[in-house]
Amino acid sequence: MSPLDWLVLFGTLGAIVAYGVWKTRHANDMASYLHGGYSDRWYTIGLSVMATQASAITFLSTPGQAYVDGMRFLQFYFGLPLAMVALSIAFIPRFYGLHVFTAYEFLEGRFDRKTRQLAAFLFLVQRGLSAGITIYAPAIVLSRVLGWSLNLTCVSIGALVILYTVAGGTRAVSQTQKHQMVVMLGGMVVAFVVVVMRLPPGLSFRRAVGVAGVLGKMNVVDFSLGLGSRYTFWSGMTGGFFLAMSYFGTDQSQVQRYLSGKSITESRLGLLFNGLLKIPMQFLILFVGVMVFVFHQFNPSPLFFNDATVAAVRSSAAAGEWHALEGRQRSAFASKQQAIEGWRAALDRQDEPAVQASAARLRAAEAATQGVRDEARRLIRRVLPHAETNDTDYIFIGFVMANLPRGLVGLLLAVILCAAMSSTASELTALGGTSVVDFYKRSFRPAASDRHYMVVAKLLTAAWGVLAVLFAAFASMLDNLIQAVNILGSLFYGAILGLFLVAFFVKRVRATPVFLAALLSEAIVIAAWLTTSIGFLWFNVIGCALVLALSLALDAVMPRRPALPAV
Amino acid sequence: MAADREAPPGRAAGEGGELHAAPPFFTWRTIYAIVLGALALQVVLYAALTAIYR
Repeated sequence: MSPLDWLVLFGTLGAIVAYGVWKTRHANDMASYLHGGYSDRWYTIGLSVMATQASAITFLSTPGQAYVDGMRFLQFYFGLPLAMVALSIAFIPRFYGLHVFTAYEFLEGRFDRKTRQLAAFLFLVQRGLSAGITIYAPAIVLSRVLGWSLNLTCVSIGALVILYTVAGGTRAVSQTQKHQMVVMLGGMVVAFVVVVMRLPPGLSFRRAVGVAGVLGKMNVVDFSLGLGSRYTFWSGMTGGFFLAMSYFGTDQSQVQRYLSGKSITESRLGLLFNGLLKIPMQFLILFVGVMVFVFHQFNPSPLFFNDATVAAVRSSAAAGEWHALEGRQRSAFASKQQAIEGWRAALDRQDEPAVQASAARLRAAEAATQGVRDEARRLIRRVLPHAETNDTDYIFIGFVMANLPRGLVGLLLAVILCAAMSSTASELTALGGTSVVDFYKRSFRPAASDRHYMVVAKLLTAAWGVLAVLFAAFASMLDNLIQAVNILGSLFYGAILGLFLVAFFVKRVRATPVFLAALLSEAIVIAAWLTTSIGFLWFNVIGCALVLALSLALDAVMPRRPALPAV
Repeated sequence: MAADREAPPGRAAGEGGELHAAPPFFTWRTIYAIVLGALALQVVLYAALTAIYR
């Protein structure tokens, strides 16, 4: 990286953090600390909600996913706008009606303390582990790219986040997220412009998209009803809706974003703003990945995108085999060039049979390239049994480091670090706030001063931050950690959403039946996860359905106290 | 215990009007229609994109 890139990177991050700390220097009570004094406007809420969801891995992985798998992941977000409307109508008025600090407080108003603390506990376990991963996942990639140690990268991200989160609380998070989101979106637009400008002269934008289409990357919408495909219109509308309802409706890291609104109108508009912009934003990020793919149809790509792994293989006894695979990849690339030229010439002549024939040759050449990449992965697995053979997270950052001009590399790295910091900051304030409001204040010190609670909230936020950094540093010793945390989330989300749905819509169910139903559902979900091969995303639906069904059944069979006689 | 804090300024308990107040110019129904209409429009556009660049 050039000095200019370092300047842009640290200048951007430093300016945003300093602004956040300065702007929120007067946060001196619980309302200011946990909900920013209820002063946020709809656009701040909307950008803050989006920044919380967009973690660094979104910007690292999503373009790489489009590079490998095309645009179809976009359908995962189709249920989100629908969920934003449903939350605006059903959830927000109920949270506002009771003036709650955390979503889980609502459950005590409707049921009892144990139900509230069960939901809060499930949130703390799940989100506490996720906070470590939110730091760890991008740190793996960034440490390799920047040449820093993994622990130093984790500590640097964690320390910056703890600094401004503890100093200014929720308002600092919202204020910084607003600017971080602008940097993130601006950075992706810049990346898109650069990749399009790096395409060969004479290749129109339409032809570039055409190349992606021929090679199956423009598979944005799939209306097929088969269950074999993970991303279809139908799974996006149902599963995506369900996940968005759980995440935005019951996860305190999101709930506190929109509860910090100046009014219920601002909170609703903030969520709907997210519903309006989320899909176009994901489209842009995925489309950048597709354009990087097209770029590599005209410019040779590495055989494997993780440079450190490639260096390890090259210095092993299998260096000769690797060299031979690189030679085969060059041959496949040359065949692809010929096929693309043939396809472009056939399009110019408007010769449809020739267009189809050259498109088939192009697909065959791409399949040959993929075959060589698969062989390279098998070789890596043989030579380095513990190395990660999925290199999609390195595709976009590799393009950035090799092809963006000086200064813009620093900007794109700032995008990724901003994303890591913004989602971690929301998680930490939510963890600190929930610990204080739902446990400390409720069960240990119910009558202390407001200032006392704010100090404890700050201390607990910092403690969760330190725990997250420690967990991130420890995470390298565990395998498949990201998947493990996703599974953990899916095991708990369903039951939490079920609790809220019963609270909102099934008035007759009492506290103890719903509490027992949640415990039983968790036990059944965990047993099913351990003993069956059900895909983990389904546990969101199963957990929720179980809580609804079991709470109704238990409420029907458990005796009710006789009503007191009227006096 | 659920409402263990005072209602913040402008959010006094029982202010039903506040809970249903719409922003200027649009009703909530119109705003929801805009969000869902935008989703429908995008699905149509993306489906067309998929069909054109198949």
